Amino acid sequence: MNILYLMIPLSLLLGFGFIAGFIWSVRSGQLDDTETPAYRILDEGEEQP
Amino acid sequence: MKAVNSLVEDIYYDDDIVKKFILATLVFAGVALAAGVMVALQLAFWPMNLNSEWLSFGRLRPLHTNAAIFAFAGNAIFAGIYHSSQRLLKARLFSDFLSRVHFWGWQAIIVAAAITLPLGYSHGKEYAELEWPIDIAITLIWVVFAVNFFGTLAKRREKHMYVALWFYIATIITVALLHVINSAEIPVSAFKSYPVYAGIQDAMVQWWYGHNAVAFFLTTPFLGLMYYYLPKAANRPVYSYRLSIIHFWALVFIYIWAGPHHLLYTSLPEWAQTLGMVFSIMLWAPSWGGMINGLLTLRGAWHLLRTDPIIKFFATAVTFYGMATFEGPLLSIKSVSSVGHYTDWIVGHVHGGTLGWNGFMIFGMLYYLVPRLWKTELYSVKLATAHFWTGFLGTIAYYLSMVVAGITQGLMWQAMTPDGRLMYPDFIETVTRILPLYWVRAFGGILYLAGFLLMVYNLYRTIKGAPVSVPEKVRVVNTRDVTAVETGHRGLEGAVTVFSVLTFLAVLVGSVIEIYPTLALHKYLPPSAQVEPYTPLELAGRDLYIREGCYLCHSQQIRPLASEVLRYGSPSTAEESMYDHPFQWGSKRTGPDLARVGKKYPDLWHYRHMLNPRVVTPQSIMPNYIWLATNDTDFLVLRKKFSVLKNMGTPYSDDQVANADIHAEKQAKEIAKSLEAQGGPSGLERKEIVAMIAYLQALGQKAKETPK
Amino acid sequence: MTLPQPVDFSFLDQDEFKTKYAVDSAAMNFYVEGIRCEKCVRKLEGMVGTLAGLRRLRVEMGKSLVHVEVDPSLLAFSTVASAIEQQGFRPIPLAKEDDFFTLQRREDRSDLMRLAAAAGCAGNIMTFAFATYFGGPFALFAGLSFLLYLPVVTYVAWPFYRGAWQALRQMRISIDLPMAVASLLGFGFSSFELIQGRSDIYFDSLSGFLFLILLARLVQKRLQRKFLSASELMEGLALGRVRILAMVGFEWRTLENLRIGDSFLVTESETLPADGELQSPQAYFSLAWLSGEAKPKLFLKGAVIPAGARLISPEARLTARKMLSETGFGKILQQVQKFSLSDNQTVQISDRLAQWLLGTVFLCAITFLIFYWPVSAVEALRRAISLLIVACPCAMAFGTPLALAFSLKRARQLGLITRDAKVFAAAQQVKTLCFDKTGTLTDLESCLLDKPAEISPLQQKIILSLENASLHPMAFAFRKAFSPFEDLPAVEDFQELPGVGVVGRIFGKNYELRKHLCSSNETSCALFEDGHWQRDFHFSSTLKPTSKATLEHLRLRGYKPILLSGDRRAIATKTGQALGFQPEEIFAELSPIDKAHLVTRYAPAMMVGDGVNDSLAMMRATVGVAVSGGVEAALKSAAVYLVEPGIQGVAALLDVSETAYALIRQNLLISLIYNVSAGSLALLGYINPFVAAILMPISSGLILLNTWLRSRQ
Repeated sequence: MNILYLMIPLSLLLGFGFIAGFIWSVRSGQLDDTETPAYRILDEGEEQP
Repeated sequence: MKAVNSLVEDIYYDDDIVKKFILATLVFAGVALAAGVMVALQLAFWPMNLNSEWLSFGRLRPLHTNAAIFAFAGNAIFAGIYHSSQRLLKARLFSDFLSRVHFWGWQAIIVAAAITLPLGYSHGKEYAELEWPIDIAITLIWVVFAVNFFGTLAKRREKHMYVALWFYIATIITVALLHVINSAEIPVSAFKSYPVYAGIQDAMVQWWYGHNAVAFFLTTPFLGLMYYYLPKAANRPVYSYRLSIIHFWALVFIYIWAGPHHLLYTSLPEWAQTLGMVFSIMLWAPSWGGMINGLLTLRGAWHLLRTDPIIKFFATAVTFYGMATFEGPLLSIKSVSSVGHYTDWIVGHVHGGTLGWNGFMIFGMLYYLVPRLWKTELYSVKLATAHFWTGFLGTIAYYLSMVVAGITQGLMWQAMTPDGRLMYPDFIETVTRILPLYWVRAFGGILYLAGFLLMVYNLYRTIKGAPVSVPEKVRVVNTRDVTAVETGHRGLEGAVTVFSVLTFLAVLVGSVIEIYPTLALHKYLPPSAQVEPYTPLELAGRDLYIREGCYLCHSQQIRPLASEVLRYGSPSTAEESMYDHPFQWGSKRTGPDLARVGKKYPDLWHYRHMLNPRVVTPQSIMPNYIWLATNDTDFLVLRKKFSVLKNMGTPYSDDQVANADIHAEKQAKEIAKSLEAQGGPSGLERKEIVAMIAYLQALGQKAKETPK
Repeated sequence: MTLPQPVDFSFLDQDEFKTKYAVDSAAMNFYVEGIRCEKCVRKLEGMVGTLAGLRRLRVEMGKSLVHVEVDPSLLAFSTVASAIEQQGFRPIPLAKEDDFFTLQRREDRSDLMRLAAAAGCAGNIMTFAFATYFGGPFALFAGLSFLLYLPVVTYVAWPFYRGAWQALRQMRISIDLPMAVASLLGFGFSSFELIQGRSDIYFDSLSGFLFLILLARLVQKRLQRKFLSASELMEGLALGRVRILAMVGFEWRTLENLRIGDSFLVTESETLPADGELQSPQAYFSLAWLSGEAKPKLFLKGAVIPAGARLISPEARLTARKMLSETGFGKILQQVQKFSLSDNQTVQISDRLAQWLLGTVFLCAITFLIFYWPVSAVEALRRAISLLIVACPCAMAFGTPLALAFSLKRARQLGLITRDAKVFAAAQQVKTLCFDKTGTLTDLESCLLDKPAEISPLQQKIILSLENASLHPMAFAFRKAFSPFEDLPAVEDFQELPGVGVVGRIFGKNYELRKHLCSSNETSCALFEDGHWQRDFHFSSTLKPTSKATLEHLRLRGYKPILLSGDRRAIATKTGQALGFQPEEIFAELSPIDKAHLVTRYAPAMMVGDGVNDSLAMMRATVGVAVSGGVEAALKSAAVYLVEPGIQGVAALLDVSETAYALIRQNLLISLIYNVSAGSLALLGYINPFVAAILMPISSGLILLNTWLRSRQ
């Protein structure tokens, strides 16, 4: 199954990519406020049909 | 116009591109659904194949799947992503030019697919049939999309990245990776190539791709769209935003390992199968987290379910998502898989998800978007509601009929008499038993298409009655770092980072692919081992098998189950397919498994069977392949094919490569003679049918030692 | 009540305020309650487009925070605050040192990243481990597991190392120690095995285990943090400023600037930030925080009104008499803000138990290692590691503090203000419940039975003067009965004698208003002038509505209530019998000292009464519960203060205590059984580190879940 020599590094790469993404989001404060964003997207006012 | 604050800007969103993608969605949805109805009818009633080379099931089914996934779902995803991202990021799309390249490029790809697939230009790998020029085009357009999207991300004005955007990011990155890896192939001619992987390696990569295509093309973008459009339509916030964030990260970490659940009981090593099973079961949790989050968002707004068709569609879609993500892990359990694999249960599972979850999400989204984008009211709420019920009934009919059919057939295959023999030794018995259900399924599909047509009419009237729209300015407030916006440095950094990462990935992948063939099989098995590669004529026949899409109805992988061994012979081993570029283990048995069909029947049987299956099996639903007797085999290209295969590690000698066509012609003459001798027509040595026969007779015969 | 006046926020623009409140010269955080929907978010955040100079406005709903950034040259903070108020919200500026949210945030981010690293590494290691369990290529996956464990053994496990080391330096064993040891030892052991080419590796168990414990700790931290109820806090924080009388009138200053003797002004619905003597002729204040009475009370000029009282009248001027931090109210606020259980006896006991357990575990582990090493070093190590992993003092480390924290919160919700969590333990011991009569079982509101028309205005004035500073029910009754006077005579040498009455000198004469045991059936008091009796006053008192039912309930629960009264036997008996007391349970004509003696005699007993008048008895009791008398004085002698009128709080207190301790005992029992059995199994070799790593978090989780579920009832 030496296809694993391809798949494992690939999956790990992808995995680390996502961990990096997570660390970035924590550091840049993306996860500080996990309540208000849900409200912010509503009622933007310019979507009335 | 400068507002009172330098952090306040007035911008225009690009909704023109959204409208384009919406229209494309409608057009190609029609194509996909119509093709689907066609192939459904072909299964229920074989004459619908119309004896046509270009309309036979084997050619049309990939058209249906590719149209449904890439043309229907794809265009819808782009429409939704472009629409929602601009509003979530409070920024106009990065580049209007790239948007248009993306749009026209994608439609061109679809048209190319619509032309090449009926012509038989196919890889023979599910959901990745499109040949190499189109693969390259897909890569390019996807990069355009990625640059456009990440560029918009970089110039965003809203600091917080709403969870939907994360789903989009995951989609874009992972689909790119999946596509590139799975499409690693060496071209033979303008429209023919061989994947660098073979046999079990190819199986692993293909289903790593295949399942993750489902995950990252049909799930993550739709979850992102769900997290945006459902709250907007119901005007309520997501039930738990925190949960949606956890949902995203958990999903992203687990999904990637679920691929092997498509290969249970195959010759994939046990441990890989079990791993796939375990992870597929683990997937259930985050998926249901998402479903619950979506449904509970409607808390306090359940009355909308009665009045608003959009909410009807969304709520039903989320429910089907939950259903499918429960059924999936269930089917991943080995014992369940042993009944369901290769049957219509899988087809039912797929369509519960695609019709119920993807389709309904798209319909809801379209009903939401069209009136808003064209600044008008929906033409008829009643029609939309009628669409909902029609589509819903259609989906249920489809799903139930296929689950019943699948379980019935699966159980029938496994049924043994008390004295240890097969209860239904004739495969055809299991087919005729479920044929009525194929009619029900076709009817379900027709209902679904009918509902869709109601929507087309409804939206057409809506758009027609809309006033001429003028793009409206939107006032946005920059909530990101002031310095970033004003100096622009960060923006540039952002783009540079994006490009570097993409480039790095491309380079990495590219190098691996180039290195890979040299790492290939000879490390796994010594070349002196147990299998003979195909002769040139057999290879020619194999490529015909791929062209005609035979793998869509016939598998070539006998599982180590008692009933299967009785029916087909000893279980397939990994070595037997070691030189198969691509692997053809198959995933469905509308007809019987062919792994050991070689030398089971005389050549003439195969001749008669291919031209008119009903001659040998009166109740067969297989199409007539009459053109195989009239088309000429391309012998000359065999040299190139052999050369490519040799480079990929198949142990052909130089002589075999140089004289591939001569050897093929020689073998063809022998077969033609034997056909004549058995009472068949003469003069077939240059016809494709002979190559096909050569291939079929080789199946299961390539082992140097006959397996016991 | 009139509409609240728009608030004047001009103090925000003063330099000393900006130093205290502004994050930098251009940003400030406000606490704004009531943001519930997207319209509110939109209203607030939309101000950026319309208010010139407003650079940024960001709402954080979960914390009721609004972050504001301005261009100082264009926009003043006061304008922003006013604009927010006009939108219908009440912004309260957050001082920098009160902005613990920022500190919390840093901690939270660090926690999250560590958790993500743990999850990512543990998840992938487990993938590879599973693959090998199912027969996959071992060397490859084991090697990868090793590599992925490196960030775990360093970064992820770091808090455990730090906690264990800090505790060891103080000669304590903390719960971090076994985990730190397990992490390191397990790493060493597994690496060694790997190098030797054997398959006995446990990277997956260890990393999964560390991840789960981190997760449990995070959950516990968040749960405990929720008890710092924001609204309680903000009441206190709103007291950061006061209008002090300066040259040109009353000016806003920070509270630090208030000195004793300063004149200050409060307006309607503001809370007194200091004890103040009323300068205005009269004013209505609500003493809800202090006496449990929501109805406004009338105070006359010269009365000292406690900090925490809320002004109902439009305006009042006062002279500062005591600084907030010295007042009872201020002390309560400090207590609420700096909530800590560290000096709680039960927690200390729990902590000691935990130490004992851990000590035992280590002793066992080491002993076992020594004795089993000759038999099989590898097996010895493996079992020792399993023991270290599986042993969990979670009931003590998590369960007890959480249970007590929940109970404190529950108590507060039920209207009980407790000094600390010790009271729950004490309440468990109590058998006899001693109830004061007047004001406890009977209404706080007495009514003067005598007609004011029959009392000379001079006498009324004298009485009002004397009772001016008193919070005794009789004082209120007098104030309610008599019309207010402009010119109350000054009182010299004023003294309030708890349980007796008030004395003071007016116009050169010594006056006393004393509780009087007269022959009538009602409570009464008598006025003395220079020792000569002037007249009696009679008061009626009614039973509080809940008294009887609560007493019956308590009797049913097995407690023995007795009645202690300073009144005449006849009155006491009449009231007592109406409440179901047996004659032998009624004690009348008691002085405060008598009450104290009785309480001691019936120990362990709870004393329920007035915080001021029964203070002696309260201090002698196992648990003192004050139902009236002002929080400050009450909490000096009593452990609990009931905010709601009536004695049902007593039943609530006993309930909460019982629940808390039942829970704690339950947790301890579970923990004991678990540790003994799991520990034994580990040493006997039936549990390998992998299984241990699953069991331990499960047991922690179960204890946490058990505590949380039971506390919600």
